[in-house]
Amino acid sequence: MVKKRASKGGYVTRTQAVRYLQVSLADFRRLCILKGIYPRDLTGKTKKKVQKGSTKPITAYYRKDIQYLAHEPILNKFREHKIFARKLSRAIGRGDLDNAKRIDRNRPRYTLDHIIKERYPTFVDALGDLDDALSTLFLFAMMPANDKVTNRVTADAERLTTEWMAYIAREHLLKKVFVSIKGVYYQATVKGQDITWVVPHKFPQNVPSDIDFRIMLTFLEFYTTLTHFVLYKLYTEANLIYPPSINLKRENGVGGIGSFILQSSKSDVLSKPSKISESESNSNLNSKSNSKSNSKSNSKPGKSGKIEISKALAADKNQAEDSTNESDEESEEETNLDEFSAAAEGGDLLLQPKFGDEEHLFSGMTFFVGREVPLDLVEFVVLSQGGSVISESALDELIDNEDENVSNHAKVEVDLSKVTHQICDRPALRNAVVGRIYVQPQWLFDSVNSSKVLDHSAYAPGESLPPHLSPWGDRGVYNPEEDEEDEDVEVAEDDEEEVEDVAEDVVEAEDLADEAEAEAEAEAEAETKSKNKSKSQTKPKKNAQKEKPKQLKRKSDEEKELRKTMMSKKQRVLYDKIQGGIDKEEERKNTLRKKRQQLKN
Amino acid sequence: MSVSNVRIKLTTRDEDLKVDENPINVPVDLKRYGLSEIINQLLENSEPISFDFLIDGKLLKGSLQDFMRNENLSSESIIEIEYVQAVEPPTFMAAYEHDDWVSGVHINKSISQIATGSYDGCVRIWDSSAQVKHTFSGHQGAVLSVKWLGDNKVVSGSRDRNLHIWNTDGKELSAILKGHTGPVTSLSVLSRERIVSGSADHTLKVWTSRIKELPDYEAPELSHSTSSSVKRRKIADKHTQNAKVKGSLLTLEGHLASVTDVCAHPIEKDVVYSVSEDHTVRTWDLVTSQNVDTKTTGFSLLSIASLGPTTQLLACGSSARHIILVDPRSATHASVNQLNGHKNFVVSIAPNPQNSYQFASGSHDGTIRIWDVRSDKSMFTLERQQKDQDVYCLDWADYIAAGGRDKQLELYNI
Amino acid sequence: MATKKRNFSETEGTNASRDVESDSEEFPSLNISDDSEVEGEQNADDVSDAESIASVPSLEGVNSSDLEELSSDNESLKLTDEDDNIEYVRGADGKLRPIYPEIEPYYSSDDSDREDVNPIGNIPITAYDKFPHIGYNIDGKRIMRPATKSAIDAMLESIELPKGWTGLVDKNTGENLNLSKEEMDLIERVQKGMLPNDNINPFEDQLEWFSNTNPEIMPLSSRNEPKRRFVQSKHEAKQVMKLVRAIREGKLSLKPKDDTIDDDDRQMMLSKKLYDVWEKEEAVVNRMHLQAPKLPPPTHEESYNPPKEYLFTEEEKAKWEATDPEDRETNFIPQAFGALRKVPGYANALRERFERCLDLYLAPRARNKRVNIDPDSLIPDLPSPDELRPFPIRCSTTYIGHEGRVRTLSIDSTGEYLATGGEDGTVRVWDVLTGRELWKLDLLKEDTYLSEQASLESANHNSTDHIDQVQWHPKTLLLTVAAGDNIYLLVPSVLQSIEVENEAHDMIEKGWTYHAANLKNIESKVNVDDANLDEDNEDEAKAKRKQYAEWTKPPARLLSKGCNIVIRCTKRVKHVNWHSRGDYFVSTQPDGQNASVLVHQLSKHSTQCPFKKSKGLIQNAKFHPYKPHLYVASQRYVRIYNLANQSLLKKLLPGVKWLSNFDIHPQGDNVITSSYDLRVTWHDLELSDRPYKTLRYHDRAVRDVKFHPKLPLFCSGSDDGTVNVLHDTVYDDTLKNPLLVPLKILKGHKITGGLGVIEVAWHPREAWLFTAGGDGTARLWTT
Repeated sequence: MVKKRASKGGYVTRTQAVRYLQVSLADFRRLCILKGIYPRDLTGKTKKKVQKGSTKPITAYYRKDIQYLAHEPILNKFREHKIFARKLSRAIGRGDLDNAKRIDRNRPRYTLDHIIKERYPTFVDALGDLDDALSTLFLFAMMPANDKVTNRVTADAERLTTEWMAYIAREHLLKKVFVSIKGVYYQATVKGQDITWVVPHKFPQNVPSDIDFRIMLTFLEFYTTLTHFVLYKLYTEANLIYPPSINLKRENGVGGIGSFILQSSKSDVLSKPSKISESESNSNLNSKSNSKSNSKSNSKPGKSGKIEISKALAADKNQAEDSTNESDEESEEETNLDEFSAAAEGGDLLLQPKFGDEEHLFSGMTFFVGREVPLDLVEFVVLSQGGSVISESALDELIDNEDENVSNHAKVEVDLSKVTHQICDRPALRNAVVGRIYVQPQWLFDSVNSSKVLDHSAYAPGESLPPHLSPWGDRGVYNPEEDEEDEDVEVAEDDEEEVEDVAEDVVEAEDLADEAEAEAEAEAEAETKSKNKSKSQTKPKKNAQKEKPKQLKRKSDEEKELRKTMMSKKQRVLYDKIQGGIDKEEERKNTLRKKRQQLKN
Repeated sequence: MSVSNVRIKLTTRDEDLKVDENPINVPVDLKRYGLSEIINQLLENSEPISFDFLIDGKLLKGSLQDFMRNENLSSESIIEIEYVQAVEPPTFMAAYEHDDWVSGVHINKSISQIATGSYDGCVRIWDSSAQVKHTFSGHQGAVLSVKWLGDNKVVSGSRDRNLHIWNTDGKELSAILKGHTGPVTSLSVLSRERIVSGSADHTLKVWTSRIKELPDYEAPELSHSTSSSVKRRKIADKHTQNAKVKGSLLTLEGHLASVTDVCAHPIEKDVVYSVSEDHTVRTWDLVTSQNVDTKTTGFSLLSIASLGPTTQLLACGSSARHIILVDPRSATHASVNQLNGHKNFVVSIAPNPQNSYQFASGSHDGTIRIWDVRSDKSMFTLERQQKDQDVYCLDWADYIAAGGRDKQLELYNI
Repeated sequence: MATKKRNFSETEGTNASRDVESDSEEFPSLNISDDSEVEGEQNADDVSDAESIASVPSLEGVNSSDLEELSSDNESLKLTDEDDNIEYVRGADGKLRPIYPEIEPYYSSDDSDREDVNPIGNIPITAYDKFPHIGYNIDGKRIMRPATKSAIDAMLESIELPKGWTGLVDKNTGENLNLSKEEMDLIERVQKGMLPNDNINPFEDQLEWFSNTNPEIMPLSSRNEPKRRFVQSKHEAKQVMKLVRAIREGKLSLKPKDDTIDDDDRQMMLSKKLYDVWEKEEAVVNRMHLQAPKLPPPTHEESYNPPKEYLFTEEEKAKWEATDPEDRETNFIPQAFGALRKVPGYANALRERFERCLDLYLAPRARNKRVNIDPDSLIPDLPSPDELRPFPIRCSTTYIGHEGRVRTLSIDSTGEYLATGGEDGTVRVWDVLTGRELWKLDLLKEDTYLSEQASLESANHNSTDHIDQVQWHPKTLLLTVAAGDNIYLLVPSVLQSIEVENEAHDMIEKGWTYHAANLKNIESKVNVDDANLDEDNEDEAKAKRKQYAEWTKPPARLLSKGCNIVIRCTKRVKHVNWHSRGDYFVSTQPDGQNASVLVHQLSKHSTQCPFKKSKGLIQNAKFHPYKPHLYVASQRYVRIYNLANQSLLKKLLPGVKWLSNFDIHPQGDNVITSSYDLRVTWHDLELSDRPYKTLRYHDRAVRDVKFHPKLPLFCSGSDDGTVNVLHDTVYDDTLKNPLLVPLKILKGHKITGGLGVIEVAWHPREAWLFTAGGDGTARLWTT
């Protein structure tokens, strides 16, 4: 029936679509969310055709989308699920619970991987659409579990997000950090795709009552699956085991990226687990490596190890030289680097990672992170810039459980000696350790954004920080750190609105003549009563220079005004629209400038 | 911009101001004042004289650098700078009160008297003490221009199409020169007491102050004139019983619109220039009474003056608010240069009798500007005492006299 | 076997009766060879019987067992009658009833189609060569050798072969085997590749037996469905129950394999069956797919420590709170926290995320192409005004003197004298350059007639004291003034030469003599050359003409002022326009209905009304510069009449509500109109009646438009106090449209009493413009 109707136009209204698919509206919504089907904004004739003269707004879908929903296996699952739900309720109503349990046990399940494949034919597409997925996941990771959101969901989200951060940190892909009042924005460049996500500050989210969690959860469901697959591919391409194993002790303690032990699927040489508890990670490694012995094709670990190194090296190089490298060229890099490292000695293997780290911002630095500083944030930033982190809180734990083996203590001393910077966020620091640079966390972020290690003097603890600017710049055209003098020239020019005198002459030479000659006269007069006049000499010249462009500007404006009168109405409407936008922008810019001026003095 | 130096060589015409010729280094951002300071030091003048500076014939305004940039001279080459004594800025002297708009003025230097014509139809003779010596009334229309004929005769041209020759000693009207069929807009006195008048009837006429030489004026007989028109003639003739009515020696026809101003050739006895609202500057040979040359411009021209014998240029004020310099000798292009600055009609131009590079121009925008042909910017601008009152007439001898809409004849010394 | 055979042979004779019917029955599958006819019939007969009897039980689905019984008792019966096959049974009535032996229906076993009539086994036939017979039949009788043909027969046969001759000889009978007719055409059918049997119709429509679509007309059995079709089979039920019990007791488990982790199976499933979805990725381009736009990245304002100027001031904050959330430009208030530790959680994070989700699946998407074009590129690029000089740029002279508005103005042909008429009832003449007032006439005072009329009419409208129009004569210094109901022809004494003035005077007064002389033949002349549109008889025409207007001598005072003639019309005269040759002038009086357009002739002091009936509210009327055409603007249209042949040429539709004025291009093929609804329209008479361009650049009513007589310029004066000067190049070839370039907006006239610029006029030679303003001044605009 819809076919008949739809054959009229390319679009169907939502009611038509629902009737065609024969699902409830809620299911239809879920389906749309999962399959990424969205209504289309219709204009002009098509709109009229679809809503058949009625003027009330309608949501129209693309007909092909709906038809292709009709063949969606999920749709059947939904139907089955409906039946299942009925059965279950009946069973419960009847009160034979084991029957209900049985029914519930084999409820219809569905997977979304085929949808992911459909929606993102290529991996790059998937990466390109990862922003929302990550933001949602991070948000849910912070959510308190309640009746609507089970803790499984949040835990799942948290795990995924941490895996993501771990990957970014390990591959040093982080490009921008921005701490806003809404949360911390990160931008990483993965396979040439800029992926931006926001991590809320570590506070319990307040849950507004009027939020429909079914929708959110549907999105989350899809995003979870998507992220799973993306991570899987990323990890495997980076030759890491996915899912990464968790350092349980750390997990229970501080948590965060550190608790993830990323291992290359082949050799231990490269696997740089999080800085704490080398030994455990090692133990883990062994277990892992022999568990993973079957995993991949390569049989001989030593040789594969070399390849692995060269691969990492290549990866590092590529990121260093250009952040937007295509996967294919990376691969070719590998190939020609392969025989290089094959030729190299085993001795190099230890050097190379260090050499690889050279490019990174904080490489060679060790940061001691105070308790008061959100660890995950700092740790992520530092690691992704090649630095290393010792978190005070982690140390506390280690000290707490004294029964650890001696290696911990040893390591602790070693670490503390290595510390170069201490990140503390306290009004004033007591008992500063010599040889450490004390900075506030913003120093990290600004350094990352300006991609050079900034001077830390302005960021010393207790200092009033310089403004933390967004790496994405301003909403409009205003630039907060524009240099002074051109600004105040313009401001001045803004202030004095010259009155457009009637019938301004087009021969612009005249006014100039006036200027120059006024000057000359002044000169001559001064000369007759010969006294030195340096300032009166400069002044008229200045505004003489300013006259000229203004003169021309006014002239051109006038001509434009004239030509506007010959515009057709359509053009004029369009023109006004565009021009209006521009003017608004300018206006905002100027107000900001003025405010700044006022603030300055 | 870095302050670099440039080598200049200072030369001059007059000997007593000479300094040594060998070039000196000066900073490029030096201006006229700085340069004249230099010269004053070179001359060890006690009180400084101010100079104007000419670089290959162009007057220096602003700094050397700007000049060099505009003329794109290379700063390597030695720049030869000629300096002359500068003109002091004029200052307001006095104002002579009139009853109506002052539309014509002529200064007689020898007896230091000023003749003015006014819209009330009177010709006034002023002495240096701002007193009206004589008032000649007789015109029925505004007197548009007056000229001295020698020291005791004044000729005046009026809207009423007539020229009157007044005798300042006898204080009476010695002759009425008729013939023009339109207002007489301008007069010019040639040698041998000849008078050239331009009129709105598109013609020039030549008269002489030797009244006997003039032919009698025969009125054109009217083809059956109606009552009203006859009456009108009576009215016209009433005033002129006692004076002799004379006609013109010869008539120069050729202009297509009203002739606005005439002037005599500085050297040639029998050459007259005239400008008209038909955009042309015409050169007339009085001997053959032929239109020798015609130069067409883009605007209706309102005033003309010839700038003395050295530069035989003609300065023509136009209705397009500028002054064009015409070289009558060049057959090819009409105007040599164009001087912008005025904001309205330039209706009168008076050359500087001493310096043939300079002239003054009066305009309807109520200003008098003093120009030097060697620079295309005006040197000085004189405002009327009452702002923006049109200037209608202008004369320059030792001092500048200008009359205008504000019923004042204002004098500026310069 | 043998027994059956015998039984058949015995039944031979008796079955004759049935043979007939057997013949009548047709069994297409049967074909009978010539030689073994009897057996053939026999077969046929058997088969038929078999059919007829066996039909029912076969339908009943009888199983093999009862068949066996049947055959068995059949056997016994045969045994009973040995010699003759009819047994007689005494019936209930004592009569003998013959009982024929039951024909054994089991024919499947009978091999009646065996052909060997000569059962000699495999003794070669040659063994019988010496004997007359060739063997014994099953009854032991001799089978005689068929008579061999005589030589003649053989010869005959050899001459013409019988149909179907094969040349073979039956080894048993010794006869020669010939192909039967059927066999023949079967062969040739096969050769032709047709179906071997012609009475098989391969395409016959199959009749479907048990189909519910078309119920059979004659059902095979009317019997009801047996019950067993409906009751479920107990056996199956048993089986199912067994399974169910097994499941209930848990012997048989239906749980999924990963039963252990039942709760968070989703995650496990995912993590378990993770694989590289994009292993073989092929880029599919879905043209209709619109990628959702990403969220805009955060800006400085959002920073936890932004530059100070971003922080809201009080009023900004108030404003922000005042605006409702939809149209705030940021959904947060910028805040500055000194240090990272002070940053609180963001309350709306969840909500914003939720809204984002909503957008993702609810917000309709459309691909709208950003117009990031430079807005200036939209402005049509026209030649810069600088190369279109000269045109008026600035006000050079202001003509001050009128009290009240300057209604109208006109510049004379020499371009030296400007005549203006104001609401103070005065006509003034000015010196163009200096702005000196040269001449003034207070018509209101001078003309007693007009003044008393004014006093008389001041009751209804006091507008008679306006000077509505002044218009110089195109040639001489003769001024026509329209004031009240009168048109004055006067010569201002501006100290021009007597000659010129007299010329004008004469021109005016010549008419008197002419007029006085012989009115009659004037009229005839008039009617001839004056293109008068009403051709009715003379005196009526005269009467009409009288009431249109009369040419009178003015009072003495006016006469002394140089006014020679007053034309007293019936209604208020709004406009007077001269013909370029200067003999005719047309006057319009909007509220005289059919007499609203009058054509006056100066040389004859005569007035005609070209139209019989009114053409609506006439705004203005003008003559074509050189053709005998009259352009009349009514409220909506501009009509063009040909005066020569008294016809309506064209009717221009400017498409405006109320025309104010119009003007004709000096070449005569373009018309511009101005309207009170802000529009200026340009009509190209070659193109169409509709405007070629409609210009709408005035903010208030447009009062007047004028073409420059010589230069390609025109201008429009409006109540917004501005005059727009435009350049118009009209090309000679009609293919090229005129080029219009706006040049200059002249601002200067103050708007007083809602009136800005009332009338404009061009200098005859220069690109100078004269404007009459509501502010009591006239202005000269020069290049």
